[in-house]
Amino acid sequence: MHETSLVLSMCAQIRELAQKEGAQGVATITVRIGELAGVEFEAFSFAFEVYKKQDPFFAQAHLKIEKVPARLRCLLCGHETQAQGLTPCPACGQWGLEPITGKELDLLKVELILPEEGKDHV
Amino acid sequence: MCDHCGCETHQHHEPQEQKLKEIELEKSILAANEQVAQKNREHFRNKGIVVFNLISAPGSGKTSLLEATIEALKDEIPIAVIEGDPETERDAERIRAKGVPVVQITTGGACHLDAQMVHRAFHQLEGQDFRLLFIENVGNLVCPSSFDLGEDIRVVLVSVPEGPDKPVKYPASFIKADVFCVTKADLLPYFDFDPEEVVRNAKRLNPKLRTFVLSVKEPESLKEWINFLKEMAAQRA
Ligand SMILES: Nc1nc2c(ncn2[C@@H]2O[C@H](COP(=O)(O)OP(=O)(O)O)[C@@H](O)[C@H]2O)c(=O)[nH]1
Ligand SMILES: [Mg+2]
Ligand SMILES: [Zn+2]
Ligand SMILES: [Zn+2]
Ligand SMILES: [Zn+2]
Repeated sequence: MHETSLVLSMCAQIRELAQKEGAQGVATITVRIGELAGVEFEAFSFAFEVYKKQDPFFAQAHLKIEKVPARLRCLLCGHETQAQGLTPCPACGQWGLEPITGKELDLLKVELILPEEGKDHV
Repeated sequence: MCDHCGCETHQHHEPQEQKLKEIELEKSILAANEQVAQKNREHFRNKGIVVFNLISAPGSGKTSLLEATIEALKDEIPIAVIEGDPETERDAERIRAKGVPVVQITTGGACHLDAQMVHRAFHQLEGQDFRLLFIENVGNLVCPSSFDLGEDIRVVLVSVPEGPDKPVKYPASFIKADVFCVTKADLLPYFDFDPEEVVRNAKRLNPKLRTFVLSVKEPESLKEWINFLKEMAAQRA
């Protein structure tokens, strides 16, 4: 369950940013996680739900996970494919596909909740 | 999906008066760890130390391989070890008995080491003279692979009794490794484990992997590994 560590690291980053911005909470967190990142999407969401219950600052936060499929490029012919698991290059038949996407583990954006005083006009 | 009603969006739960501000980050979730790892890496480079991060399930033979490696190299290349495996508290003792400096990290139940833990452990080795540093990660094939420690070379180990399907089941661990060791090769006669096939599968996932088939019971099998370590130490010298 290193997903718990990932959530802690993510929330620490967000909190730091939120403090700079004078925010009072977090509305949305968008992350991008690749299929080859070694992270269980379910475990990550679960770890976040657990964390939320302990940290009121994140009580309202909604987590969005953008899943990135693995794209592989043939080291020999350069062909790109979305093929999964162990497979030779569909174009030239040789082995040697290198991942070009799928290893992402990124915090893309956050939506912070700012204090009420800013809402005087519409 | 939200907690309250299981809906796909949660827009309708937001009180209208909330003022929101969206901020684009595009940063690694592990940015903090990566920063420390990078510092570690620079630090090791400046000192001319080559650092190895050993990752495997518990019991795959990390400590045994370290013992055999120290035995083979200790008169030639000074070595130090950072022990992060809490499964076997005696690991640090086993290494110390071989006469090399060792620091035990207490992870407090974590399933992986992180760069900060290694940074602290490294400070405890200050004043010691060594060229190769081995970090034995927590016994877990999956979790440690997300955390850069600042190592030069990441070694993934799978022992023969664990079965041949590990590269296929846990591709992420192999994709991020530099070296793959099949361990306990002396047990090959007793298991359905074709080392060539396993190595081939691992290389198909990661064509750049260096691979070794090892047994601490068969010193002959360690030669290539030992030569590789000597090469690495010579390159950094
Ligand atoms: N037969 C055999 N057993 C081994 C070998 N290497 C380790 N072992 C045994 O496997 C068990 C776990 O080894 P250890 O080095 O503690 O694994 P670690 O948890 O990865 O550090 C011990 O009982 C070792 O004696 C090997 O090459 N051959
Ligand atoms: Mg051990
Ligand atoms: Zn874990
Ligand atoms: Zn091709
Ligand atoms: Zn320091």
